Amino acid sequence: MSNSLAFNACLKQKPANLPVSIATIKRGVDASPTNATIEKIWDSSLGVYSHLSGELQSLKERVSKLERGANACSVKIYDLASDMYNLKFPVDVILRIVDDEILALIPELELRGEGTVEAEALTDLKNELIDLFEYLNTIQDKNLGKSPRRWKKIINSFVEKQDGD
Amino acid sequence: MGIKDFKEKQIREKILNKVNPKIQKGQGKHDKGYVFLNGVLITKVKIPNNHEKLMRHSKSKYIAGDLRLSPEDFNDLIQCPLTGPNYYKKLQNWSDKN
Repeated sequence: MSNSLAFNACLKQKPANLPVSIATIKRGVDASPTNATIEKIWDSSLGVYSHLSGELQSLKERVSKLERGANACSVKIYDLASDMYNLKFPVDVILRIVDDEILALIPELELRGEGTVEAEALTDLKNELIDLFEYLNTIQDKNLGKSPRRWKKIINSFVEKQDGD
Repeated sequence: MGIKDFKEKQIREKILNKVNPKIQKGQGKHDKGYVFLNGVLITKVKIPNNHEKLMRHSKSKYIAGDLRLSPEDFNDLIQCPLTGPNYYKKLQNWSDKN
């Protein structure tokens, strides 16, 4: 049985008498504790235990959030590395480490680039952006479902194709 | 339950054979599949290359999401119980709700 399980089991069984030493520490005098004192100490201990359990849970959740955040960061892309396509403004991209790869994500477009290093993932994402832009603009809006219609609206708001000379 | 580890080529093969999306070979290093229902584009999926490499849940969850499948249904799609026609029934249900 683990320590915490043992402690939980112990808490469920309120003893008839606590060790004299605990009561002595609490009262600061060398005397036998009364039942009322024992009750008081016991209730106080339960309160402390409950408070610490809550704190521990809260800390676990915060550590978990921090760990998730450590695998991701946000960067901006400023162009599409293409002579034909431009970005109208810088676009936010999430870089996430997944196993031995790096993913570059634009969640709103459900788009991702992949690579072994950041630059490779970003280059792949830029190509994905161009491919999606090209494809969506070959399809009439009436033939686009809800998500693709939204993607088209978003992608057309920040990608532009240069007119040929 | 999460998505099982599958080889990239296994995922690719099942997407191509069962989902049978319209393929775009664009500038990216992966093929893109566009999934239509009754002539309407519903979703897109980035198709893994023909590699032996194992793909884990942390990455394959994006493909399952692209296909609008739960992890369980994605496992079924790759392992076989979920047929192509049944995939499209699920996609129709998803599309009706979204």
